[in-house]
Amino acid sequence: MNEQEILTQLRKAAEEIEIPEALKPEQIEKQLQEQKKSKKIIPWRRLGSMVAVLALVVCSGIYLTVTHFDKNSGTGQTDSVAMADTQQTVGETGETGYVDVAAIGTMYHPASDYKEVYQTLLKGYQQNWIEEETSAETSEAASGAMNSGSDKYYYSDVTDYGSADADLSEGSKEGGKDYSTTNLQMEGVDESDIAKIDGSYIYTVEDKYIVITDIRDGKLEEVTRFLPKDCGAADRVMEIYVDGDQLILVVQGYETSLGESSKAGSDKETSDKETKDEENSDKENPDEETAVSDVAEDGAFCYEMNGKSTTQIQVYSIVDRRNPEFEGRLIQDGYYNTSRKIGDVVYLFTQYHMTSDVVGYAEEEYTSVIPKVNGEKVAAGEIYLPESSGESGILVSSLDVNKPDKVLDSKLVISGYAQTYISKDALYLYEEDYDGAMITNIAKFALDEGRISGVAATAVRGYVRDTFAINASDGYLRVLTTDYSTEDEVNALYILDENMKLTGQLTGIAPGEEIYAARFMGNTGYFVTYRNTDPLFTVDLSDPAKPEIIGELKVTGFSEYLHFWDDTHLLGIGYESDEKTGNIENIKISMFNIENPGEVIEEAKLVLKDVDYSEALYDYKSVIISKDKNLIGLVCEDYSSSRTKQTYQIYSYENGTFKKQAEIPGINGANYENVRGMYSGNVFYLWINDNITSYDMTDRFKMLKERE
Amino acid sequence: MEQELQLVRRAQSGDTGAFAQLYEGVYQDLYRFALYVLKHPQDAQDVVSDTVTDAFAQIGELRKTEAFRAWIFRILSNKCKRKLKEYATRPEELTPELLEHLGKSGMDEHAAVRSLFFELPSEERMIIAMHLFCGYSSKEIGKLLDLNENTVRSKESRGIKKMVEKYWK
Repeated sequence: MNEQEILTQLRKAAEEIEIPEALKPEQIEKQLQEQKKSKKIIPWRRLGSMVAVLALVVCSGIYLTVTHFDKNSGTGQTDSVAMADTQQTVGETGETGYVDVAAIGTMYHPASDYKEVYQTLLKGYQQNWIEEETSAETSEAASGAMNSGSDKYYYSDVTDYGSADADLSEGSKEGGKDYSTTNLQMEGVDESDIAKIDGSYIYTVEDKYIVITDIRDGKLEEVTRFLPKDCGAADRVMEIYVDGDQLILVVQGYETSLGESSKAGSDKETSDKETKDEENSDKENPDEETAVSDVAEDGAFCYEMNGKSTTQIQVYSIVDRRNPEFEGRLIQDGYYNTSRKIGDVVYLFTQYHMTSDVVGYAEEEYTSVIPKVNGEKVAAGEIYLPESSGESGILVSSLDVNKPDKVLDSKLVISGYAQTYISKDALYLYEEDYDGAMITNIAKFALDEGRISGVAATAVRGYVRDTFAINASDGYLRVLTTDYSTEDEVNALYILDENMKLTGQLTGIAPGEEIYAARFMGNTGYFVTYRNTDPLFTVDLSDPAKPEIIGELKVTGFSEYLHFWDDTHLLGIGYESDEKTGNIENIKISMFNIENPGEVIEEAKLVLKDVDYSEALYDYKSVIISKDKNLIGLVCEDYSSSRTKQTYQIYSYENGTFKKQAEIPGINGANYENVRGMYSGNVFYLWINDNITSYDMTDRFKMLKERE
Repeated sequence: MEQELQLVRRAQSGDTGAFAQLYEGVYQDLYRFALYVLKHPQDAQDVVSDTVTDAFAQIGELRKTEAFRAWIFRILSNKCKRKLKEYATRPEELTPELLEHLGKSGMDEHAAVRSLFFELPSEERMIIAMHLFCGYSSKEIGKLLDLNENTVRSKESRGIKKMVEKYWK
């Protein structure tokens, strides 16, 4: 028996293994259908697919220039601001047992021309979609530098940096409004959502329509229902903003072109045709020529196809709620990622997967891979490229809602799969990578009334769980990470200054546990780690050079979402777990008293009876929390019996106890994405799919009306 | 290929039947891989089931269909890696459960080879399993396991050599 034979035998031996019934395709299909209904998806598991989608962006630093681009003149002037070549060795493994931290250089440099963009993408394509080992070997040489991981990083001097807000409290304070607002990550940075309320009306996204419902004087009447302008058959409204008499829509459009246009002849024709149509119709009706075969009309799940998706911001005046007036729009390539509204400026982020265009076109047509904003290709100087290769891009554009026909600025950052964190004056793109170790690259762009400019980039060790684990305050960026490279996971906190230079860190936190939830208030951070118990750590961030853990509270279970109830209380929503076995039990809500941050107490907890899951754990917009009205509302799911039960439950908190105030049944089979609880005055509104019902908050949530 | 393309598109639109068909083409290897790596039938089943959930949720990110297999295996192998870390605190033993499970199947010789395989340390098992079931190149395996490509090759080679030596004993 030689080596090859052993392998063959091993393979044959494997073929004899019986596959469990539950994994057979028919069973799996059933499982998926069940899950589709209940949408039990846990985002943290995305780690696996991250690896699949990442173009492995290499870190070896060069420079980041600040580009000032004048849209009108069409020329790009690049100010190569002084490059400081700073080598910073950070954190060696010392006797304290802390994990070695390397601040690794990450660079994004603006492209000098479209050819460079194309080549970057071509490399990305070749590296990640290799079919034979041989082609892998050849591109190996080219990407020789891939895992060298130099530990320098470079940044540009930023002289004109907008002052960060000193006070960033995280709670959803209503500030004098007597109606609920979208649960925001950061105060001052508005986020679009599928439902909005302004005290007089409720605005919701229902299938493709925007529906406006009058709630004045105890009414609950639909007054308008309309489609976005030029709505194609496959288009979909994703989210909306409402501000005074302005309604702003985010609309996702689809053009079904196939990525592999070089293969089947007809496919190429279709995509060619669509490109032409796109160019012709850009000037008039961008969505007119959409070929809509094979695109799902299922409003619940719309997974976008390759690269030819476009996303729009449409602005309407709703001075007369019955007759919304279209005022203007921004349209850009890519599928919707997220958006923010800061003051009068809306920032639209789309994810633009670029290499599908690389294979379909002749090499000379470098411009084919460049996305468009309002019909114009993004200029080369506004495209940030990674050092070696990339496959996907985040495209961000800004728009002043009072002048909606003119895009203020655009930037495209080519990378792998980046996430966003947006504070009042900066945008941070972060993405996971590995370079001998698990790292997260973070690139910072300053946002100033629509102007987007590159600042600096760096990398930290470990992965970031979600956007709550990153927080900007007073010019400093705090990042919490979990590093899985080692035997035991280990967590760390990094503090970076305005120029993304490391000022302080805490490493080796809670080995063997993972960061689950985090929330920051000014200079105090709270975060939860979990394996068996749930230490709720309090960290003092007042000295950026010396963050310090000042408190650690051990409780059973863990929180997945943290929310400031008021200045002295922190609410946690998560799971209870059995102290001995570590088995996860039901959903639990906890109230932590943080009056003395160094000595946090779990003032109260309530394990929700028969609640196995809630969307609130992973989608912060789906939960409503208001101290003013003393309510916590969330969708609850019960898997204990054969049929999943779903209810909307409302709790209150007083005198150290949680009390269930209402349990609203009857949302079985509903689409989880479309449930929102809202209030205005003393009326609570529950919107589920295409139905709104109202309840009296002063009378035990007695049902009042159903929308007519 | 065309067929797979269609299926992926449909799955991306939320068609569970289409996804199930794609799954059908890989599911046996998914389980075999998980079992070979984890040595624990229940855990292997759980990990495959979790992979399916995640894969279906994220199939929107899949860009080129030939990669469905590689892509879903990546999700699976990452989950297996995480699971192995948990095991690090437990001794690796052939559980009676596993022996019984495997005892049902096939030839003695195969059983012999399998048990030799299970005696290997988890990292070597993982590398060999990735090679056997996922069809990854050493470079790809290296990326997934944070190893240098040459390290991957030498570990695999060492693992196989061990099996050969023991076989002859």
